[in-house]
Amino acid sequence: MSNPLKIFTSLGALAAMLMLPWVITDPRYRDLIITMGIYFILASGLRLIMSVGQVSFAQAAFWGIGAYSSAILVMKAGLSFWLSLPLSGIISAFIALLIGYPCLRLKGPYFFIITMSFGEVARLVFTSWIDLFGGTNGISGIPAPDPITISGVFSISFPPRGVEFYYLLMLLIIVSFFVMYRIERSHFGKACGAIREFDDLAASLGINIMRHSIILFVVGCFFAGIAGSFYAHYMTYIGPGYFSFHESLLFLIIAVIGGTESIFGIIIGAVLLTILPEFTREAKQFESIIYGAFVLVVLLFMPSGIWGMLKKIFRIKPLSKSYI
Amino acid sequence: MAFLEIRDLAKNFGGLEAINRLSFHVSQGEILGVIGPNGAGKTTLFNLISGHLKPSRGNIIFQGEDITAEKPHAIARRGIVRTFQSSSLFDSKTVMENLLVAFHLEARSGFWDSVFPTRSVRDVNAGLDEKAIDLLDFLGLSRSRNETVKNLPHGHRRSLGIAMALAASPELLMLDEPVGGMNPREKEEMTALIGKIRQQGKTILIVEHNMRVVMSLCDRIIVLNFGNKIAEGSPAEIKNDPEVIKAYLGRKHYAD
Repeated sequence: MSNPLKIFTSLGALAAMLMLPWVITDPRYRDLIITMGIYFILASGLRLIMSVGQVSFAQAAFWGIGAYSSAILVMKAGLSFWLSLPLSGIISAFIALLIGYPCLRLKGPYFFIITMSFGEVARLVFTSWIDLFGGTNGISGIPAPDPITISGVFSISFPPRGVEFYYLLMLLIIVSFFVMYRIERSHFGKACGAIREFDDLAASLGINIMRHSIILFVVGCFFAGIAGSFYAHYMTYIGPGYFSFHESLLFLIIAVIGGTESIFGIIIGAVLLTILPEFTREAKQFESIIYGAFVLVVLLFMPSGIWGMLKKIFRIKPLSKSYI
Repeated sequence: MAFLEIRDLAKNFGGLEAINRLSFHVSQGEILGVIGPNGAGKTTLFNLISGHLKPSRGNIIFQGEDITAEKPHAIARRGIVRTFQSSSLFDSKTVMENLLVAFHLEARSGFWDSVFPTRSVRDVNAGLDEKAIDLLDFLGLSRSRNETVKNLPHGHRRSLGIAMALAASPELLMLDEPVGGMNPREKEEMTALIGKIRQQGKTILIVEHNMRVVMSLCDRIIVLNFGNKIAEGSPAEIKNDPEVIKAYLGRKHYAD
């Protein structure tokens, strides 16, 4: 952090995040911002595996795995939310490792199809294992996170849909943004880009394609699990319908529309694709048409997403030049 | 012990025998040329050695160890680095970015290094910038450092491909048609460059069509035809081998 512009930008963004609840006080809009934040974490996790040129269609399934894990760990095993939050991430990551190891040998459409199948299998397991996952009824009455208390100093509790959830989510976003940004700027990240562009050449330079792919997939699913845990305790209710392939498709659209080249593209994608349905809701019968037209226009005219186009127009350079 | 030893290597694609029971060796410090008409199996041989293809039979032994079943990245780690015939590079990136990726084996490029870059990680990786610049100087590319690779002239693309292979600090450098598609001046420069690389003590295996380049650079030459080795020897011996003349040199346009 030697660059003053970088420090200024980071502090500005942080201040904006902290102030936002004072500017937007309507709980309905706050709800929208929280949705945006969850979508950001999920789409940026998906972007990781896309940076080696693989597209996963199972992101919603790993989100669901995190959500169900957290609900079960808290309600059936009596764990604290603060323990189940990281554990849900780890469970998702572990399952991603088991799935990724055989499946990442497949490339392109084959990997896409097998992750889509995995997503459907996960949804069916949530639906049919009634004792554990509650079947189509899902799990309701998921408790709020335990209050954080330092006796005598302060206590933070989490009332339903309270602003405290917003701040917790912002913390999770900052952590995931930090990890994604560092990966993007590092030699590790550049090696991943090399794999996407020309895998045979990358391998001949000593880059282990399988190792890089698995790490990205596992880390992306770790964050999906974390987002799932947050979501479960924020919503207090989860069901198998929330984690279907429609959601996986949405995260893919967010990533592609915003631009997968940079984490900033995912921010743009998450904001736009959360707001867009709010506007089109007015014209109900045209909702899908407007949505579809928007996606089509972006894909046709901005092949590297909205961020890619902005970067070209404004000649945006990275804040720091060298790799980490 | 031979530096690189190829034993009874064979590769067939369906019914086609691309490489047929091929055996030869490369000694440390030499330039070995592999020549042969189109479709003789030269590029297949490269792909087998670099691990991009798995042989149907036979063994590849590098510095006394069998590397036949290894993956390309593991073979690169052992010190066998190749260039690609089409001089394909990471086209959307700049010259410098291409070269920095090529320093992968030397960089601190692990996942945790990227998330928590300690001082030593930063120091090692910052040092690579200088090394990359030195290497670009060596290859005469320093002026196009920030050029996007897809805009480079053909000769420079070839040089950059070789620079990237050198960045992976090879002990055995494999060059796939390094002067293919070049004009006479570029050819001369490339020949001089390969000579310079050899002086640095690298062992080089070279596949090439251009006879003049092969004859002037190589210590020994192997001639392939339809996947079989038809001759092996010094450039002078190869020039006068009747089998070679029949298969290859007799055809005028190859003599250049």
